[in-house]
Amino acid sequence: MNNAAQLTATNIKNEMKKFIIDNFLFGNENESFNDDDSFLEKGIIDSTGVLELIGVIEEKYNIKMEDDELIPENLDSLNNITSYIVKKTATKN
Amino acid sequence: MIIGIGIDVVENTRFRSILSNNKLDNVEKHFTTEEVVYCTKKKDSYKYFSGTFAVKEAVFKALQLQWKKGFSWRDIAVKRFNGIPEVKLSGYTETRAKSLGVKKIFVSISHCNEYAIAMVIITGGILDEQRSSVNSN
Repeated sequence: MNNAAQLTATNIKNEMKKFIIDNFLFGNENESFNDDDSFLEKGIIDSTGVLELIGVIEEKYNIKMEDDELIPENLDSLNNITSYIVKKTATKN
Repeated sequence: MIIGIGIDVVENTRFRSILSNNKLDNVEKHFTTEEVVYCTKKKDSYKYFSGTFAVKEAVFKALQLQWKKGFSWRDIAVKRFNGIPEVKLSGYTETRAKSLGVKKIFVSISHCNEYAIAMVIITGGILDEQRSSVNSN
């Protein structure tokens, strides 16, 4: 991955981490989680939260998640979300 | 016999936000056309989306489903007959239910201003030694 792409991935990861902290962890940055932590297993996000997450991803990055993309591999950790958004936006451009 | 129970509570304001931000685009991924039509006819439709999703989640728990490729919330369809909710399953969820010997799914939904809650009781059954084989799949 070149530097421009790495910066984009970093930006996306930071944006999504902020969204999760602000909306599911009451803005408390001390409630940290690892980039590979499963949101559902760790109790960070519930099922309704996954719906909220999908809405934010689609609106913020102007992408449409297809039915077969609504899987844990794309949504259930910060790294998974970041990889998915980077891949999806690269495909779109 | 009872083979599973599930319960879920959903905060209504969360669905109000989901609907206001994305209109119906997002909910249509997770709700059937019939569910969307039913809920959007109601005043404060977000409360009915909350209740419907609470049923889906309750069924998910009762059947001990897994979120994995092939699973869709639309495969747990909430139907209303004279206002009484029922559940119709399809896809992976239906396959799981059949493997457990599900005969009947009882549903109850309730609302207050802030929350929707749903409870599900599933009856049917397979022999215990068959169940442990099913749960390991």
